[in-house]
Amino acid sequence: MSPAAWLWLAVALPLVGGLGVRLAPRRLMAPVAAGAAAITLLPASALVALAARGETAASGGRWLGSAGLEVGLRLDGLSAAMAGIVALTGAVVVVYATGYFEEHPRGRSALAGLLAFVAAMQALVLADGFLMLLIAWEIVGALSARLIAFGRERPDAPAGAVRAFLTTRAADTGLYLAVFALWAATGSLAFTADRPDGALGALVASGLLLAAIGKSAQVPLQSWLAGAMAGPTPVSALLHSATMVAAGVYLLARNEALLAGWPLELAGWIGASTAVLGALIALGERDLKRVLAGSTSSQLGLMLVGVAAGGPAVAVFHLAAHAAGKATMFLAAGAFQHARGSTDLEDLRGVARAQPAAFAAFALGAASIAAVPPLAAFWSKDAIVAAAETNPAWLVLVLLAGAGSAAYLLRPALVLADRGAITVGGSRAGAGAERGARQAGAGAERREGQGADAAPVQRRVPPVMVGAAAVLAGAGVLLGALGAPLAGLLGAPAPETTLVSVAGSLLALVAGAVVVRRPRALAALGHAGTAVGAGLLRGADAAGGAVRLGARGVAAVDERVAVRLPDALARGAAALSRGVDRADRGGLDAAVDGVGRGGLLAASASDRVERGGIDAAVDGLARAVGRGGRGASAAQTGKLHEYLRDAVLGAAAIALLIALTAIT
Amino acid sequence: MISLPVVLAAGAVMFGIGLYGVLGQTNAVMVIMGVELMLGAGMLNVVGFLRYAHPDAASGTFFVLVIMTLMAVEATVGFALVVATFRHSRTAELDDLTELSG
Repeated sequence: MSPAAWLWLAVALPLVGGLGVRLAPRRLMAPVAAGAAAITLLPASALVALAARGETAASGGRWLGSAGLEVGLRLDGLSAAMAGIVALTGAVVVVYATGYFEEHPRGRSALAGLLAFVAAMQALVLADGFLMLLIAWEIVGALSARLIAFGRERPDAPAGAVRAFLTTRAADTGLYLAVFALWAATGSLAFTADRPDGALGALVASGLLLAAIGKSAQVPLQSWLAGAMAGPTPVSALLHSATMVAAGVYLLARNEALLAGWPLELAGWIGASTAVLGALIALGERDLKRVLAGSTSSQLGLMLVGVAAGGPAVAVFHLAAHAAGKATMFLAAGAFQHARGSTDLEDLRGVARAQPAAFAAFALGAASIAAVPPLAAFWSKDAIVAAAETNPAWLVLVLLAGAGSAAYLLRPALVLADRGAITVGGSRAGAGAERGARQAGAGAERREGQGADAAPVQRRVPPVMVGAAAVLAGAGVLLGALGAPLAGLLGAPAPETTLVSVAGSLLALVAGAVVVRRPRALAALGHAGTAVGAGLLRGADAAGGAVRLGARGVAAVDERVAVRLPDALARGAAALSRGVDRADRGGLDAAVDGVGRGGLLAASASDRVERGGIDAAVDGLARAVGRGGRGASAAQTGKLHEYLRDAVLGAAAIALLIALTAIT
Repeated sequence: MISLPVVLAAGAVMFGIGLYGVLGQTNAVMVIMGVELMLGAGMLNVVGFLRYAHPDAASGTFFVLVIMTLMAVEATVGFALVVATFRHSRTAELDDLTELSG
C-alpha cells in the first residue's frame, strides 16, 4: 500500500472502530473495542517502518477548494514516531478500558470516546500544515473535556472538565493568533522553518508558545491538569499523561526551526520552572492520581527543556519513555481504584498486598520516571540533562526536578506498599472501600468483611486491566534501548550520555530518595523492595522471604542511622510544597474561576439581551403567524358553495381588473 | 346569418343559467350541469366571435372540438366523483359534505 493510504488508515481505523463500539450490542463492546485498538497498531507500525527507511510522504487536498488552505497528512520521522507512541499507548489503554468500564452502564460511550480520541490524536501528530493541526487540536480538546466529565455522578468531574476546557480554550486562542499571523505574513498555512519578520513573527511565536503551555499544563496554566484527574482513569492515562498533554511538546518539536531564538529560550525557562514546581505540587498532593498529574506537568516541563536545549529528538525520546512509564502508573492506579473504590492515598494504604501484579507494574513505571537505571526514562532524562549542560540554571532546575521525581514517586509507592495496613488501617481502608462501593453503584460485587479487623473490601479487578498495565510496564523497560533508533528516525544524532549527566541523574535520584521520608526513607525503601519482591516472586516463597529478611536488615540498620538533616530537609520541602500547592489551588485556580465567572456574567447578559429583544421579536412573529393561520383556517368551511362563490367573486374581480386596464 | 349580438346574448343567458346552477343548487349533479352550461356558453361565444372575425379560419373549429372534449371529460370525472361520494356517504347534497372543514 502507498504511504498515503497508511496515513489515512491510521486516522480512519480508530474512528471506524469508535463508531463500531457505539453501534455494537453491549456484550460485544469489549471485543470490538479491543479489536479496533489492536488493528490501529497496523498502520502506525507501517508508518514507523516507512519512516525508518527514510521515506517521507504527504497526502491532502484543498479545504473547501480554497487556494492556500490545504488539509492533509504527512509522513516523516517526527510524525511517524508520534503516531507510533499514540497507537501503542492508545491500544493498551483501550484494551485496559474494556476491563475498567466492564460494568459501567455507559461504558460503550467511554470506549467510543477513547477510540475517537485516538483518531483525532493521530490526525494531530500526522497533520501536514497548521490548518489540519488546528482542526485536530480542537477535536482533541473537546474530547478531553467530554471525557473528563464522563463520570458525571461525581460533582468534581464536570467542574474539572469546565476548568480544563476554559484553561486550554484560553490558551488555544494563541494557536489561532499564530495561525492568523502566519497567514497574514505568508499567505500559507504550511509548516515552515522561517519565522516572519517583525511583530507578526513575534505573534506567531508567542501564540504557539501559549498554545503549547496550555495544552501541556505548564506554568502558569498547570492547574487544570489536577482537576482533569476527576475523569475516568483510562482517560487520565491516555489523554492526561501519555498523549494529549504531550501535544504541546509536539507542537514545539514540530516547529522547532520556526521558534529558534528567544521563543525556544522562553520555552526552556518555562519548562524548567514547571519541572520544579510540578514536582513540589506532586509532593504536596494527597490523591494518587493528582500526584501523578503534578508529575506529568513536571516531566512535560523537562521535555520543553529538551526541545529548547537538545532539539526534538531528545524531547520525543523522553516523551515516549514518559508515556510508557506514566501510563503504566495510571493503569495500575486504576486497578487499585477498582480494588478500593478511591484514589486517595490513605484509602489505598497497603493495597500492594492485594494487588501485587498491579503494584509491580506501578513500581516499574515509577522507577522508570524516577530515572532508575537502566529503565527507559533514565536514558531519556539523561539526554535532557546532557543537553541542559549548556545552561547552568536549567541544569540545576532539571536536576532538582529529577530529585523531586524520585521523592514524589517514592512517597505514594511507600504508602501503597505499607504492610501495617491490615491491622492498623483496616477501618480506614474499609471506609474508603465503602465509599467506593457507593460510587460504583450496582453491579459491584464485594465481600463483606467479618469481625472488627475486617480485611479490606475486595472488588474484582478485571485481569485485562492488570495485563495491560504489565504490557506497558514491559514496553517502558524495552524503550530504554530506543534512544538511538528514535534519534535516527528524527534525523538527529544519538542522545548523549556523558559522565556528568549520569552522575548528576543518579545523585538527584539518591537525594530525592533520601529526602522523601525523614530517617525512615531507606527502611521504607526496603518495604517497597519486599512488596515488589513479594509481588514478582509470589511463586518462589523462599526467595521472597530472603528479600524480606534483607530488607528488614536494611531497615534495622537505617533506623539507627537516623540523621536530623534529612528530617529538616524533608520538613522544609513538605512545607514549601504545601505552600505551592495552596498557591496553586488559591491563586491560579481562583484566577481561572474568575475567568469562568466573568464568562458566566457575559453569558447571562447576552442571555438577557436575547430574551428581551431577539426572543420577543421571534415570539411576536410566531404569534402573528399563528393568528393568521387560525384566521385563514376559518375560511376552510368545507362548504363547496362558499368555495365556488369565492371562485366566482375572484374571477369577477380579475375580469373587472382586465376591463379597467383595457379601458385606460 | 345570425348576427353576432344575438349569439352573444344567447351565450350570456346560458352562462347566467349555468352560474345560477353552480351557485344556487345544492345537489352536486345540478352543480356539474351548471358548469356544463357555462362551458357551453363559453363555446357559443367562441364560435360566434370566430365566425364574425375570421370566417375562413379552420382553427376555430378545432378549438371548439377541444372544448367539447374537455366538457365530456369533466362531466365523466365529475359524475364519477358524485357517484363515489354518494356510495360513501349516501348523499349528494353539497351542504352535507363538510369533511374538508378547516
